[in-house]
Amino acid sequence: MLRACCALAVARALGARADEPAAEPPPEAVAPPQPGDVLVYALGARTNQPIALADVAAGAKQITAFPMDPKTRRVRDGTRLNQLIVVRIAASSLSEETRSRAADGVVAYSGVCTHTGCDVTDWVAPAQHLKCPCHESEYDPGDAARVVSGPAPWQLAALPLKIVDGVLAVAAPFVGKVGFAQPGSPSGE
Amino acid sequence: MLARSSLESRQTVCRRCAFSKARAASAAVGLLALVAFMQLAKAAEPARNYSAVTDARLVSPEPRNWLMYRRTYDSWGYSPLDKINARNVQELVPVWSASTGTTEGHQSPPIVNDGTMFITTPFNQVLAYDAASGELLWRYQRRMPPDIRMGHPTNRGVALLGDKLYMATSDAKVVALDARTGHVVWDKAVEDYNGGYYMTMAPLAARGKIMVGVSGGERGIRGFVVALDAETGSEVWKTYTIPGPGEPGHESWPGDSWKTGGGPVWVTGSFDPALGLTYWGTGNPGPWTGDRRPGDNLYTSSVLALDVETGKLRGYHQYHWNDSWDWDEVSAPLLIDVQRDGRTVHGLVHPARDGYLWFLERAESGISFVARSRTSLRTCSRASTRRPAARATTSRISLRSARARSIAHRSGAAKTGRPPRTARRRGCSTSPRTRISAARWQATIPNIAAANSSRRHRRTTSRSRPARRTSASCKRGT
Repeated sequence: MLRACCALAVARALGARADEPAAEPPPEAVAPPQPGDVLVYALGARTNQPIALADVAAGAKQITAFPMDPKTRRVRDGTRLNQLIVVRIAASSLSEETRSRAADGVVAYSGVCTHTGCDVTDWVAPAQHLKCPCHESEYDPGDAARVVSGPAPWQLAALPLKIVDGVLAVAAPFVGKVGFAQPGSPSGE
Repeated sequence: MLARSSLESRQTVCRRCAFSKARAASAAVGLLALVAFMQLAKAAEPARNYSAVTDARLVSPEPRNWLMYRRTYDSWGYSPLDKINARNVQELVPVWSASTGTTEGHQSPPIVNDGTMFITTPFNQVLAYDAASGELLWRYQRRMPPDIRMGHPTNRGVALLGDKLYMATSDAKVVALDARTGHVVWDKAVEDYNGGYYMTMAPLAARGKIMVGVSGGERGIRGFVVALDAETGSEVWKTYTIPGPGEPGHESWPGDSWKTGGGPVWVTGSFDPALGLTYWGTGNPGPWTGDRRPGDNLYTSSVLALDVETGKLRGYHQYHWNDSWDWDEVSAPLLIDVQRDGRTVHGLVHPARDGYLWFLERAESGISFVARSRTSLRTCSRASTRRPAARATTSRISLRSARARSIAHRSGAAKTGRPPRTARRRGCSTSPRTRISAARWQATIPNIAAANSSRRHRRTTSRSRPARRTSASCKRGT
């Protein structure tokens, strides 16, 4: 019935079957991204390896990432609220607000749709928009991930970036609310 | 790896309490009496009469009430009331309306018990209304864990039993509320929502149990139906829709594919109190393309007969083998008894997404095929547009071995003109260009009216209504 793209959900669910008791992740794995954290791949052959600036091609589909404490090398993947999406936008397409958070055109946002919490996994290449496969919400990553279309009530939370030794790192905590809207709480709080 | 969040919380908002009612009723009496009455009313909750829902009432509900998802255990969805009918329906005018305060798809039927009406909304809100006036009696709001994927936040309603109501939730729990107040009585997890499980269905209440199935066929789940004790929420039985190692049918899954093979159950089952059997439709297998899980993929896209007391699988019929078309057959069959070939056939009737109307027989020993009728033009393949054989397949589980059953399936496939696998992998659709005639419906399921003449449902069946028009398309990964 639901034809949402849940590849990430399934891939990670396979690592922890529901019929096995799930171990509580340590506090540092669920802490939100901290300034200085390094961004690492969340999926694929390079899972948990740092993402270099050179790895992010301008205009290419978003990379799914998690923050990692560079000292302990602990990846903060204990909660999907730390799931990030990373894209590179041409400088001419960045709004002033987003330019201040970008590192050489690379921007990062929460990967959790603000509508019902799905993974924002699709990429609309011609328009350079992030898209949620569940209900078609589109966000403009060049302009603070504002909602371009679809039912999402507000923009994705933004994560300011910097470059440290050629790899992507967190410059400041999330700007905006991570997660989705719920009834009875119009602001989502 | 992603552990369950502990951040969830719930709140119940009581919008109409004993206090206000008592205050209104006591306006003419002295202060002392008022205080005394208030205390009495508060101590003697409920503030409003509520008729406890018994097994007997669920088996035979009063015409004025709609106590479960499809009103009766046979899933007819039929009300015997006739004050509103085809002649005067155009004269209906709104009496009251209410906003639920939330968006998304509202799929809950109003459940009515002697003047109290319950509906659920997306995000697992429950609203209790005075059905006559529209007054909101209470509202239950549930705070979802913030890390949940609410891809499909709908809910399909509550079940009633005793003085409680029950709702299955998007975070894979069942919550029991006091039907008078909306206060939480118990709240039990049936699975981990981070494992892809969630629930949308209205539970089935019978014999002191609350039965629910799980959604998530696209998220790598292994589907199941679970029965909880209505009083405590403790698990009574749990039956997977995909057999595990050593169980018959397990061989229909290659490797570890059974662990994530889908087979969700997201529509309320039917129940035959005489047989003590519940009937559940199961959804599509996963992942979506059949060539990634070669085999029959039992018991996806099927109907299952589960013993209400033990959960034991007593029979099944699989509508589609190795389904690649999202033809999940989650709608529970209608229990219809008919006269056929000189005997009463206790039937299971199911209009399926493949464009066929299926007629099966239910018995203590299991489920068996009787007939099927094409209701629409199919374009999947040349083979499947042929008229099906009169008796095509059988799916008695009985005592036959898994291998024998598998052979039975395949021989049945040959007779039915089941399309070859190559054809089944292509996209296809069924269109409603061929509307089934009343005569043809009668030919498939003859003498329905006669078989049911003693039942008050007669009016519906004797009309020989054509089967619903079916339109299914085969999207893949959209």
